[in-house]
Amino acid sequence: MRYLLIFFSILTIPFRLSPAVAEGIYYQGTHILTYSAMNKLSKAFEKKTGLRVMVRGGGCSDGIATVRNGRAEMGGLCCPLPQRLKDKGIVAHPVAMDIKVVVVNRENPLKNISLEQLRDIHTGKITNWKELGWKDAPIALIYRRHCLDMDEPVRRALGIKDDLSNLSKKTIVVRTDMELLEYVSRFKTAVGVTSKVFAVTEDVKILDLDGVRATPLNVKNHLYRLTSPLYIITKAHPGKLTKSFLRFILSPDGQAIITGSNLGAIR
Amino acid sequence: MSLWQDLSLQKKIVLIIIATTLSATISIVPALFFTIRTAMMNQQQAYLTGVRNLVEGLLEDNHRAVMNYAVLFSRDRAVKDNLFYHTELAGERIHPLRAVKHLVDAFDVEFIELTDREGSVVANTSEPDLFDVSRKEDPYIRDALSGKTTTGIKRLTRGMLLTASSPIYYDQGQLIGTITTGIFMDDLFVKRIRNLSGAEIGITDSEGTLLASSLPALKTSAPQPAQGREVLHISGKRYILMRMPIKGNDTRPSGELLIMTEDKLPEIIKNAHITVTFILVFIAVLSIVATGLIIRRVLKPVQALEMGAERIGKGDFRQRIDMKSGDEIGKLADAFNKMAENLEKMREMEERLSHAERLASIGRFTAGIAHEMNNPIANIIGLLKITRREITDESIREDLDIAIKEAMRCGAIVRDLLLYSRQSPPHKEPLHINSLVEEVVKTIEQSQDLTGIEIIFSPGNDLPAIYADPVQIEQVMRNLILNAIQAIEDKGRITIETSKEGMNLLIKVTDTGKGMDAEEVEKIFYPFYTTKGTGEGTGLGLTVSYGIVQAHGGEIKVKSKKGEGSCFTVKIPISPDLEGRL
Repeated sequence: MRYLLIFFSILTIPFRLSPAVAEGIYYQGTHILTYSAMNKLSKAFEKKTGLRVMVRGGGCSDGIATVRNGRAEMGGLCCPLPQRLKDKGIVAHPVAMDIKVVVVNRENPLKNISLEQLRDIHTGKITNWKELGWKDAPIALIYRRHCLDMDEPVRRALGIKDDLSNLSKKTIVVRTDMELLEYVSRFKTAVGVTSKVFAVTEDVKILDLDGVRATPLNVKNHLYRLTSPLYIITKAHPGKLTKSFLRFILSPDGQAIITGSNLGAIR
Repeated sequence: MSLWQDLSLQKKIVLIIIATTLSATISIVPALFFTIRTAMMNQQQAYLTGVRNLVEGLLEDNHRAVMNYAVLFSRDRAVKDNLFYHTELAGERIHPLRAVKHLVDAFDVEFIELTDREGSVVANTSEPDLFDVSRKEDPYIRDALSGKTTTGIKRLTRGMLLTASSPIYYDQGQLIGTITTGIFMDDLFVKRIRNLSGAEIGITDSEGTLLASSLPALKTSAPQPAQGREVLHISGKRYILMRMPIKGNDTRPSGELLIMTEDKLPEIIKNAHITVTFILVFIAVLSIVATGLIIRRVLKPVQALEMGAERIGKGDFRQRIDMKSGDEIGKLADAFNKMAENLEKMREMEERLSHAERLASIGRFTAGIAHEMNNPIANIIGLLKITRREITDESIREDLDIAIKEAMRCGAIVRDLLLYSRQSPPHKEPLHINSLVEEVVKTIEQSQDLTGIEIIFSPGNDLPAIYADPVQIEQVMRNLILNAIQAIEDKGRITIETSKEGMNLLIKVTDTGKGMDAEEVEKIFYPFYTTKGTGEGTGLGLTVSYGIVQAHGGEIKVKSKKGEGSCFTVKIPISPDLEGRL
């Protein structure tokens, strides 16, 4: 009898442990959030509530997939949620503003660029730095190709078609922000647009856009125009814990962490 | 008689085997050597072909490797972006150079060269400072610029390069340049091939200049082409050289690959010949020894037969061959033994007949004399007795008594002779031999001085009665026992045994006396022959006994050994009608 009790005790160990595991929720999605504020938000939330939010990296598509199949309660998205996903009961919650910055090589003497010039560079109307007041050298545009199936705001702001058909022919297309930054840091005549969260490095230089510096404050004051909302997506009826975490992000404490992470506040 | 005929059978067979083995060996050896040489030559040819195929395969592998690398690197993101940056965006040349150097460091290629879409060198990992040199004349680059990936071998200033060139397309599908990967066919390369193939490798250009070699001793000059199989002697070793053309992009050979395999065949063939010769000699010697031993074993009975036949020829019919074998020689030995046995029996019978005949002759002779003397002696005794009665002179009467005594003695002798010559036929009646012997022994024990002599009678059990003359048989037993007593000089033992053997009754009288030699035994039954001193016997006792036993249809035999004693055996046939009667 005693051995039977021991046997059943061993068998029920996973069930007895499961409540502790169930105290956490998962996030997976756009690396902009992951890289910047998400871990800080998770730690602050855990410190405040004792509840854990596990953060996993990946891309926007990972975020959508994990929420849809239930492997994570929250997904990160750097683009507006397409209608087809809304139709499938996915809900997007804007939580921060991604500050897109124009980065050039540190040897580039320019300090400012207009949105119009940036748009012309991307569409191939401006191909030489001479046109922007620097030396006679072709502009090496480094463009990160992403979220082609979504209404990516920066692509729209820069006048690039979704199929990139009007993207400058002299563009070096990369897959990640890290590749973009690497090329910009190495190629003297390179220029690219990336999230500010990645551009906080001495290897590249951030240009002002239309004379406005890319700061959370300028974003909050709607002075800096090259921004893009960042979303956390959930299923239509998220759980209590998820709702609690979302409320925490949108709270002043959460937004403070957001702005402290080179992102713009959503409120 | 020739020498061959003088030889023994064993030597003849051994010589035949030696001759056969030697002639077989002598005739086999050249054929065997030829076969071995041919087989090894074929084996070597197969090996050389295998080595050649292996080297070709290894070269092919290297071709495939550089081609795969060319294709792989042409799609490499860093190569494409950096080359695009340089060629399309006037970027610094260092960027594509770094990209390909990184690949050379990371992958198993030794050479990468990038050109722009015009075929001008952008980056060269072997010569970093080389750029803007047109490669349009290079057929591989030309192929790459036209969209093809090709592989081949080309001649560089520092040697041969196993190379492949591939076009580089950028994202929108536009050609932005070419990439050429390569492996230098230098000493390191040929040593790698040598390690994999086991053959020494050399590389020459189309002029015959040696460019690389895995054999340091071949560094000085390339071997000149020769007719037929090319053989090189390098550092005391013999190499077989095979030449394989190295083709460039066109059909013209741009050089030769020298494949050199150490030719160990002569040494192997030599060793094989020595080994085979040794084995053959060993087998031959072994065969001869083994055959000799077998023949010796096989011929041993034949030799025994030969010796036996020789001894029989000399009259020794007791000779037998002890052989337990079911083969022909065994059967021959059995037949021989039977023949010897028959011969022995025949001779024994012959001797017995001869002896009997001799005794019969003596008997007839003595019977005649005895018959003639019997009546005169009787008359003499009668007359002497009458005369004695008429003479009163006492001295004359005493003389007449002596004469009568001696005449009667003569008469007794004559009677014995008549008994021996069977002039007195036995009066047979049923007789129990044990009772008779017992009676005789008692009589002798009472009448004779038997000091030191022990007489033992061992009567046989359940003996049948015999038809015999009791007086005569008693005389025989008395004669034999007395004879035994007289043979014992100081002390001894006399054993008397009776028994039945088949349809005969045996009476055996054995003494431990002085015994007789063969000559004495031969004459023991002769009349008047005695081994006793003069006056101790008439020499007729055993003669008479012989005659009595003969008259009963039996026989009497004696076995004796000088100094050990004698054994007389009397055999008297049992009458069938008395069989079973005690």
